[in-house]
Amino acid sequence: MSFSDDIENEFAAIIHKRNNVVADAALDLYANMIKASPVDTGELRRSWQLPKEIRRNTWLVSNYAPHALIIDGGRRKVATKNGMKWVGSEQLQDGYAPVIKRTEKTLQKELNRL
Amino acid sequence: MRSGIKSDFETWLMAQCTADGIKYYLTVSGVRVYVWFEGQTITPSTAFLDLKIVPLDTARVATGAKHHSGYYRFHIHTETPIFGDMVVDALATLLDEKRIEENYLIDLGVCRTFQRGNKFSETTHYETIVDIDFDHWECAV
Repeated sequence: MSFSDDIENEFAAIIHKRNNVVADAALDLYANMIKASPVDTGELRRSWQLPKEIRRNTWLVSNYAPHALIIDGGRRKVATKNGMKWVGSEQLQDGYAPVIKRTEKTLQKELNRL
Repeated sequence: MRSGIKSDFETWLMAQCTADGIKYYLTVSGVRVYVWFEGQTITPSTAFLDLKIVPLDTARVATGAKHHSGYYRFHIHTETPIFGDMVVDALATLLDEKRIEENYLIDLGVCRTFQRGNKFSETTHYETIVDIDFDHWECAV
């Protein structure tokens, strides 16, 4: 085993660990999104798809419920013909962005440890 | 989050706008875009935006200093999505990477479009949502 082989193996091990950390973060995000989802009929909570790796270190966590976009925008007023009207969820006033940001912070801490 | 971080930003933003009685507006391509703050009753107009402040967790570091972070979220309501993009550009010019020095020192990030051109059933305007991160360090006393 030469020195360059050692370096290569070490590098491969770090990459492997990094891939695992990112995959774990995707699963954590999926679980947190489900937990944070407000419930009325349960459609939004049931509509979360399992994380899917779309390319190296890039995972997709998605929801196919038709009202997911509205909930994600948070609780706010929009203009209608009859004046301003509330949309979004009372249970999830800020949308999913805080959940995503917390996951990002945790992921960054884990990656910094590598 | 310290309430001063909210009120300092609102005070600063009001100073960048033009006052019209109790209302404030920005002028984008000759059109008045009214700016509504939390607690105000919104009156719809051709173009308007409202501000919401979302604090995230406060982190305490080993030295005892605290890091407050969060984002300011603007819901921009316009009659066309293209004009919404122009309002986003105007906000970016006004806000990107600015440092606000009132009672607190607040560092702003870069405007990010979160959602663009939404129009829901019964709504009269297209909605674009823009976020801008803020950071404030509070030293240990």
